[in-house]
Amino acid sequence: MWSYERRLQYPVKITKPNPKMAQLIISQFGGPDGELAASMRYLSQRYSMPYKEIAGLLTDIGTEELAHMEIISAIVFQLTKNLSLEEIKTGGFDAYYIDHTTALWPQSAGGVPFNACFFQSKGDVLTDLHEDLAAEQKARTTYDNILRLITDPEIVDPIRFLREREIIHYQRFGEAMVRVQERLDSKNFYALNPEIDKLMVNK
Amino acid sequence: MSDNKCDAMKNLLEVSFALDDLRLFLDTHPYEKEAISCYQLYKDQRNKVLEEYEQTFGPILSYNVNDENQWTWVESPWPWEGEV
Amino acid sequence: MDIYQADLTIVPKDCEIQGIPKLPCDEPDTSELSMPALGMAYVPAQRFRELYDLSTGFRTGTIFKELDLPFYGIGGTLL
Repeated sequence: MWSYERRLQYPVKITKPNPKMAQLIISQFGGPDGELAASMRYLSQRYSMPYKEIAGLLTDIGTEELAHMEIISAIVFQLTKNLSLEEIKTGGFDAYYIDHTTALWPQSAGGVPFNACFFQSKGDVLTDLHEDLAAEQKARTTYDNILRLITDPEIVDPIRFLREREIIHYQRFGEAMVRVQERLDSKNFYALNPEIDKLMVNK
Repeated sequence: MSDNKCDAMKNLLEVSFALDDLRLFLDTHPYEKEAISCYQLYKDQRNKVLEEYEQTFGPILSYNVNDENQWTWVESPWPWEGEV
Repeated sequence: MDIYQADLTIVPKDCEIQGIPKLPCDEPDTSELSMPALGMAYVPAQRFRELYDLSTGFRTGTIFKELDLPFYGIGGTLL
């Protein structure tokens, strides 16, 4: 289902290398609350989602998160371009460099490799949407943490953009949950799991 | 990188993004007529901007590569290189 | 309890659902759920209003002014 357009969703133009920031920002690539985890979460959950517009939303947001993963990767790539050995040794980047030189490899800032334990695809409509709401908040908090540490406007610009997207995604998952609630019995939302029990449809 | 190309790409990015944001809104508001009209407006604008960009500066989609002697799709800078 | 009850019927899980149902949140006059239920999270649905122009929306990260919620923490965030 994917073709791509030869452009980033938001431009990344970084002229000053900064391996120390790269080591931190990489968490939004391969970390527990990063864009890759978000994308895999939504793209996994969508198959068993019985309500079409929500399966569509998961597909659309999952796709957008892949585009964000690219933006983060572009930031890390540009921050570690043309480093001198001195910059590598003293920039707080040396451990990563030993295993990966200046290539991109999905891990958290603390060095935990990307893995599926970072997300859940539980197969219950309400549970998965709650997981998604929480994921967007965790991503937003990570961006807040990053924004506190950087002053370079070239880095702030795309990070700020990505943070705002998380807030929008949160709102959309909230609206999706309303669309689920209005299909269920409001006296007991937890009577059934529409993914495997009976479905509620409008008369 | 000429200013014209930067401006054309900026226009493409901006209208495409508006459509991205609208798309998510419409996924959860499938019957919102005003939003659908807004989408149609931006959609026409984007088609125009995309066509102009591709005619002057080269393909954005790999389905629109025109060169007949060489596969040039892989040639120009990739978007993550920061040159656009 | 003053909660809107949608007009629903229970069907077997592999029944074909045609199209997207028009739900209470799609009605323009239902401003909000009359009262959110116990034991459930609720995020009010957004209305289609107050759009930014293309340039501003792009730089902000959304075309919807009401959802423009920037971070004011320390460290040179709002430059």
